[in-house]
Amino acid sequence: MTYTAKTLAVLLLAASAPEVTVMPGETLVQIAKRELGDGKGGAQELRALNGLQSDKVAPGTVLKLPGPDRGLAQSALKAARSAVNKAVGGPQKDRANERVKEAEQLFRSARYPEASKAADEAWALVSKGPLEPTRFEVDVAESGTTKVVAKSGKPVRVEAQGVVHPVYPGQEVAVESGKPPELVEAAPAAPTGLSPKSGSKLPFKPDDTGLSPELKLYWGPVNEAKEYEIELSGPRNMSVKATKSEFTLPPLPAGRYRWSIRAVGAAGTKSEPSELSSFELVADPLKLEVKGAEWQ
Amino acid sequence: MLATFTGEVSVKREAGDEWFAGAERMDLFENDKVRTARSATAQVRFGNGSTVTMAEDALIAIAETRSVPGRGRTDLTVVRGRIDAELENSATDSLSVATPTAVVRAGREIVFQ
Repeated sequence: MTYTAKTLAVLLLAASAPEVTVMPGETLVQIAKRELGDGKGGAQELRALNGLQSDKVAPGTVLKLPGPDRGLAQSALKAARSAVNKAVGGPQKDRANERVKEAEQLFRSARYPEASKAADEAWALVSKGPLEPTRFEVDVAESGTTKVVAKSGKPVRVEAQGVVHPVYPGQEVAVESGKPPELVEAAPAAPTGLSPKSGSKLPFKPDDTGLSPELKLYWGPVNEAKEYEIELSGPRNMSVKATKSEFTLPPLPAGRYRWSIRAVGAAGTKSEPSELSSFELVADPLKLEVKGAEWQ
Repeated sequence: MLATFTGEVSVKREAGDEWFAGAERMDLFENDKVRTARSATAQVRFGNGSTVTMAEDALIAIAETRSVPGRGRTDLTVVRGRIDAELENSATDSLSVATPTAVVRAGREIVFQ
């Protein structure tokens, strides 16, 4: 019988699967949200893992929780989704999409190793051919903490404390002494400013304060972004945050403005700034109204 | 083999106690150590088709035979600093890198029997 290193790691860890005891008043969705970070989907996994027919569980019930192979499957799924999203449309991408959906169903059924395999196959379908060199970086700090960044080609495998973690191109894993490998969140992609179009001149009728009406900024949403940081410079400077891919600027004085946005991931990693966009707020000239024709 | 380098690069043989200046195309053997000083880089080529480029202030050991218990033999150990590794053909090449906390494997799938 032959085993891969990954299979061996999973077998070793199966002996000590984590558990949780259901407290009075707790629902499966609540337990899933707390333990797995995902209420609805996580409840599906817990039902599958524990052979439950519904979300009702009696207090005192001991529930099995997923082991480290869940994290590996999540990592494989994330890499697969990212690769499929970036792929050019065509039959290969369609097949990869189907495989990702199968991987997601397997994941929800708590069949994590199979989910990893399906996600790996989806990734391989749309990734560049095996002829691309495999490049990776290993950085060891004075403390011994190791960072591994996969840059291109086939994924590399990082092993520590009995856990083998695949690292796909674009991903980074950190290993501290005595701990298994942990995925480091990659910086999200830089957003693209959409409106107002760069270089626009925006005439306005100033109000009593001489300021413009409110102006909305729009940019393309970034999948991995939890929020965005907007920098505005000009006659008035501003640094603000937004949770959607739009922001309403308050009334501003006339003048030339420049703005850019960064996407911020769930763990706080920031993207590069977007390309600098500009617009000019132009106050309409004042109309003089002269009453009567005679000066006094 | 120490293929090429820039700046100050030193080598220590397994049997020796002293560090000496590296030379281009110098052969490297098991348990030899290679060290780069500040602003130096070194490229080490392995017989399995892989290439490792050491950044400045890095220290590696070649194919240490005195491996950590429970950990298989690896092609090199990165004791400190940064390396960039490249496998031209992942189907046939392989590289395993040990560090104080992990083992990194690339290339041909490792199969145990």
